[in-house]
Amino acid sequence: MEALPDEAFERELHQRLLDGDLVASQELAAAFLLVVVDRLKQRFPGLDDESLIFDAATDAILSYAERPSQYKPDGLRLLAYLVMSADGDLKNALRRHQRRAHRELSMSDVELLLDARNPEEDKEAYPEHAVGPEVNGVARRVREVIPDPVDQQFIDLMIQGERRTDAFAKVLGIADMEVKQQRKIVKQHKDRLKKRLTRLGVRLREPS
Amino acid sequence: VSQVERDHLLAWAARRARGRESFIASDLAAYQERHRLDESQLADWLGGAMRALTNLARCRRPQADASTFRADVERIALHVGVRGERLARLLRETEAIAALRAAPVDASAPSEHGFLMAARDRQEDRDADGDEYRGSPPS
Repeated sequence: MEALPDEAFERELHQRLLDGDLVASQELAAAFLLVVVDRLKQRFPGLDDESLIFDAATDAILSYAERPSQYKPDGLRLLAYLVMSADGDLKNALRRHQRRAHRELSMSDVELLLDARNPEEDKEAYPEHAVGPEVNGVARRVREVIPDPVDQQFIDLMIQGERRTDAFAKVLGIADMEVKQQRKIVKQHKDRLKKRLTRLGVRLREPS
Repeated sequence: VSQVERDHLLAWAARRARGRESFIASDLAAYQERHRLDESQLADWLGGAMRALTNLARCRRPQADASTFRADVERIALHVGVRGERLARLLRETEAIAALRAAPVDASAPSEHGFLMAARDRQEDRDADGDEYRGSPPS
């Protein structure tokens, strides 16, 4: 469990943000992000997609850093305010996901089977300009639902059957970490993205 | 929480901040795209470690036209551990490009390339005077 920032630190940080201190937002994230993520995990124990929690916690902190005057320190502790804000964002995100999943039911039987063991065979099966409408639709939907360019590059590597950890680590910007750490983070990203792809009805065949 | 998980989450926040113009993350992303640099190359150019880059990304962006610009940049650079004059150049360049893109289209106006070339000429004049902070894009 992450240590909780004390009230004096919260007030000082809040004042610095109000005063336009340009590095205070960096310290804010360093002090609160993990705690807010912890709290959201406790509130949403069954949520299997951690990226939704990370996004909600991050957005709450960045939004507060941009507009600190929206928070009134006399009413609520800063941590409670950030958790409340992130909680609201997360609930909205979950509602959006549910609506999207409902709309996409008709696509749920579509499988994008790319045999990563033989990319040349894939090219024959799915030539760039001659893929079927379902595959084009899925690819477009993947781009819409997963707009983060880093995630998209990561998925591209997965589709290409890339197996080297360093290739994924470079995309994530963690190439300077120890290999063991890289492996762990790359695996987390892969698992997360696979879950999101599965919800879209997209299954990537594992390289053997 | 391990240091790895902490770094991972803070890097996540840095990436998420790219879409918000008030954070330096958006400038870093624009600069990376324009100069085709990966994060490691950008960190090298700024003279900092990867962690410095993610910390920098989460700082608010100083106003390039403010009288405090130089002091702001120096403070941020010192705080996260990057080279101040390089950070100043990066911010000047991304601001210039953003301003150019936001300007109304005028066929007689210089192109983005021409605009940046002119900015670079001015920078070289300033460098000759020993003041990198007032400047613009690197070559």
